[in-house]
Amino acid sequence: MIKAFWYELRRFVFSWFFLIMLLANLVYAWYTFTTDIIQGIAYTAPFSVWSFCTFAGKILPFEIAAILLIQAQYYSKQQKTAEKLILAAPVTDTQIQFIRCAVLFASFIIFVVLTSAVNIIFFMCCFHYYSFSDYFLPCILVTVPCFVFISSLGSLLGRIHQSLIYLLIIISFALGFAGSTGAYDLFGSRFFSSYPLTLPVNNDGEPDFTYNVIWLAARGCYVIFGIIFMAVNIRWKNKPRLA
Amino acid sequence: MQLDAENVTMIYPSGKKALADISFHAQDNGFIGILGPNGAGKTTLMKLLIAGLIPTKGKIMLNGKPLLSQEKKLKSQLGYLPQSFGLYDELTVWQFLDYISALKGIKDRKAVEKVIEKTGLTEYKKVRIRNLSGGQRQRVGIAQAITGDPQLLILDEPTVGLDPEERVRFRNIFSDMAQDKIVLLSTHIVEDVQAACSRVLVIYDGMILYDGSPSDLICKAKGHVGTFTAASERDLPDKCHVISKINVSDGIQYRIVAHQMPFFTQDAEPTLEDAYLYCIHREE
Repeated sequence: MIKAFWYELRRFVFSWFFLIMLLANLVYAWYTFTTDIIQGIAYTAPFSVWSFCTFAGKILPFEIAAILLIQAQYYSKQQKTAEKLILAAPVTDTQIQFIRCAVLFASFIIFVVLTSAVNIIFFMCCFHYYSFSDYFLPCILVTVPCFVFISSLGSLLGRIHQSLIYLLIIISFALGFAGSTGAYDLFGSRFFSSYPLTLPVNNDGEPDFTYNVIWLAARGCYVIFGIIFMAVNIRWKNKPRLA
Repeated sequence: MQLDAENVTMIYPSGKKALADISFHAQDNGFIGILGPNGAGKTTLMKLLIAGLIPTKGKIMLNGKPLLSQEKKLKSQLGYLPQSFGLYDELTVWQFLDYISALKGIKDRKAVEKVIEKTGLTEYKKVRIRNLSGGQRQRVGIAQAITGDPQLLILDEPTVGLDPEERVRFRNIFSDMAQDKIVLLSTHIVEDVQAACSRVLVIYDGMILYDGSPSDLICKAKGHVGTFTAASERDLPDKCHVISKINVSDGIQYRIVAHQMPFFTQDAEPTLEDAYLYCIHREE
């Protein structure tokens, strides 16, 4: 299965489509960084965890859009005709679904790591700031639940019709740029740019980074819903074929 | 390996009856050609045999046990080429076949090289699939089906798009494979069946009209094939079916099949194509 995963991954990663999406993400990451993040978010330092989480959340709709565009290819006509051969092999529908999820997740990791590198390399070069280990867990908490929720919803919608995935991209952008500023903010950027303003400041003049319990619970809910969507999708796939 | 279809009926949710109460038995060392016109039910039968559809009535058994309860076992021994299929255009021929062999759980890296050589794709193995011609893509389809030397090979119109030389080559490959395996070849090209199959199933309107050797089918058509020359089509007798017509000096020479041959025709030695057409038109 590992070999099958690598081939599925290389189909997407070694393509112009992927490269163009990656470049678009990098350009947007650079733009966001130089216009918003460099000034610091909610009166915190540009390299504070608050600023980094806002950065990660701001570029997340673009990363998710890229992932959904890859996912849409799994429901294309070409893929459906190729599936006639794939499903004649001794692999279950569930295994195929897991391979696809792994491919989407690996692609997502590539996007997140490379776009985050824009931020990180800048601070390393200009400020000789190297305490990036603090970014790791917040970055996972911002990005992964959103990925699990939307990619699972995408796979479910794609089973109904490929065009619904494109609709989901539009909805994702709408939520990313005009959604809630509360703890339920799926992408997190709007929450992280407002939440620090409600916290007491320390001796350095900025609030210490702490996790909001409701925000953490919301992230957990997104993951649970994502798993439910995935389970429904796998069960759906395994239904007897009548025609 | 044994494959049995017992009183299988397939009715699609739309209400279309694709197969009506068909039964047949197949076992190793059998190259079975399935002949029938478009819409006869050949592809539906193929899909049922690979557990891609569930029959409305009847049972399909693999080695005496229901096929659907041992889908993974079936697929581990199956090579399948559907009538229309897609390939991963982004991969090279070698990569795609290596990918399929990984899905089939084949560990032997030489297996891919072997099928590439067998199907004459050696010079294209590093070419991306999107750059292949229709015939070359068909060869990749055949290559993926025979990868791993499967015990059951189900081929739906495999020679479509191939040039005559390639068709002969692949017929021989399938024929060799059928020595110790079951090979089911669905086609409407009678020549492919005549050249290679030891058994033929004629399907028409969802029913098996004939199941036996090609020579017996030909025997059944003896006395029902004839030729005559006429000035025009108006002189054609009723209840006969024209197989071919050739312009000759005194008019048009017709080759016909009919249940009762008109007295003025000359008996002709039937071919498998004549016998197949006689078999089908007898039902109409």
